[in-house]
Amino acid sequence: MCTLHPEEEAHLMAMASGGQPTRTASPRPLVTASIAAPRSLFDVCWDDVLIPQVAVYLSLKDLFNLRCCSRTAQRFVEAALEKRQELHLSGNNTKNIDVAFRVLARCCQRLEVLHLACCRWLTDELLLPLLANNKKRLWAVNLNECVNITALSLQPIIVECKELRVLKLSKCQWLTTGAVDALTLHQSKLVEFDISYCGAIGERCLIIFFRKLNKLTVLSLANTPSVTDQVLIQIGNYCRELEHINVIGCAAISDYGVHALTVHCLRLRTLLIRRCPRVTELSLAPLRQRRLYIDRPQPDVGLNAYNLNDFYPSDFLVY
Amino acid sequence: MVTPTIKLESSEGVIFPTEVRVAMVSETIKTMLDHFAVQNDENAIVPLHSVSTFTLGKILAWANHHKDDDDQSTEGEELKPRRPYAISPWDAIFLMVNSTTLLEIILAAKQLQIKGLLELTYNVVANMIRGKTPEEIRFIFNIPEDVSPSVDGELRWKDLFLWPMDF
Repeated sequence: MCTLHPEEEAHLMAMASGGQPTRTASPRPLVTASIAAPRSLFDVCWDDVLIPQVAVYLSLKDLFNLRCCSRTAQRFVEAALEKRQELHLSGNNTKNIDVAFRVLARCCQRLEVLHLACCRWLTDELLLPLLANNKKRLWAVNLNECVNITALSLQPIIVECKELRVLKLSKCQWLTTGAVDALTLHQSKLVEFDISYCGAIGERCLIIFFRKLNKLTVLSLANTPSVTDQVLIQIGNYCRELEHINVIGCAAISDYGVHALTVHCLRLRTLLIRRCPRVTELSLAPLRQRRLYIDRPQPDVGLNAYNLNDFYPSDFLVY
Repeated sequence: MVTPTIKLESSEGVIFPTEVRVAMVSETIKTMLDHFAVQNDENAIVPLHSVSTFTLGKILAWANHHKDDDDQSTEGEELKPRRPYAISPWDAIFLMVNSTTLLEIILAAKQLQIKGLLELTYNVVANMIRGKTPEEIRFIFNIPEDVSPSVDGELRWKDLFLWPMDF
């Protein structure tokens, strides 16, 4: 939609044609018909000005308020939403958010980043239409703690989002071995993966998963009971670009698994390993030499070398 | 040496004698002058048929105030995504105008390709929308209300317009 008036178009054509733009006197009469002023905001060109220069800097709330103003405003906002590339609704559980999401699911066509963590209102019925419209470009999907969706919504993400790099599914109790197997089969570019608190996943599918998805740099497996030393050995052998790993509360791992990470993951910068009772300083000491961040405090050994309590004042009385 | 000037003519035929350096903030005028080398022609008149007298006066006031800015040297930054920035007090007062005038300035600055003024006006428009209710936005921008429950029916109206979101 362009709002140039015919006189303005003619003027721009004359300027562009390269004719003599300056002259010693104006042949136009001084009294000319006044050019109609833009009557409203939407007379300004949408594609060149309003959408890329104004709408992208407005929040979703502002866009929906603008959408309520008139029919033209509604069409404008929906045109702006069509070009939107990021959707950040994490933690948003306000009234009417599901109705707004239906509008977003209908309008958005070019989403690349989708953050919907902790959205208790989110259901398969709401999410599937949005995924159907945006599956080609999505590369970051955050569904942490979306407890009311099921693997039905995950299927188009796994099968059809070929550019996926970030997938967060923490506290999704509905995540199963089958879903991880499907991820192993269909995905190959994941660099960030979060399956914390997913108790229904088996060990075997994880071993195969990390053998295939070997580009991971950020990994969270916190409180997932099926994470064993064998899983960590596979991670160490195949995911050598790993930089940040979270295994808090993985009670099944021990020094053998951490040693595998130590030997092979040379770029490791963060190791979160609280509440792993079978991991001792024997395997952590080499990692501390590399000055990476470990959230378990180092035991204080050096200062206890000399027990100051061994000295008693009475010893000096001998002299 | 006399400062080189150029005469700009508004759509109503009013002549604005302008320093060439000030007029150069407009890429359109700059291109004309570069191509036709008329900087020394004291009688040269550049007609701007699509810019009204009031709007041209506002634009030249802004250009005169910002003639020493380094706008030209920041053209490379156009490839970077723009971030909303704080509007200077002078600019804020300068653009404390009604929405019709602001939109006229946008259209004129776009035709004259004055990049700094365009970015400023875009930010002002975004700020005029940010945090406002639909009634306020309608009032600020003279948006006619072309929908009502009696015309569209209650159910369709509710579906068509999500009344103000609280998220």
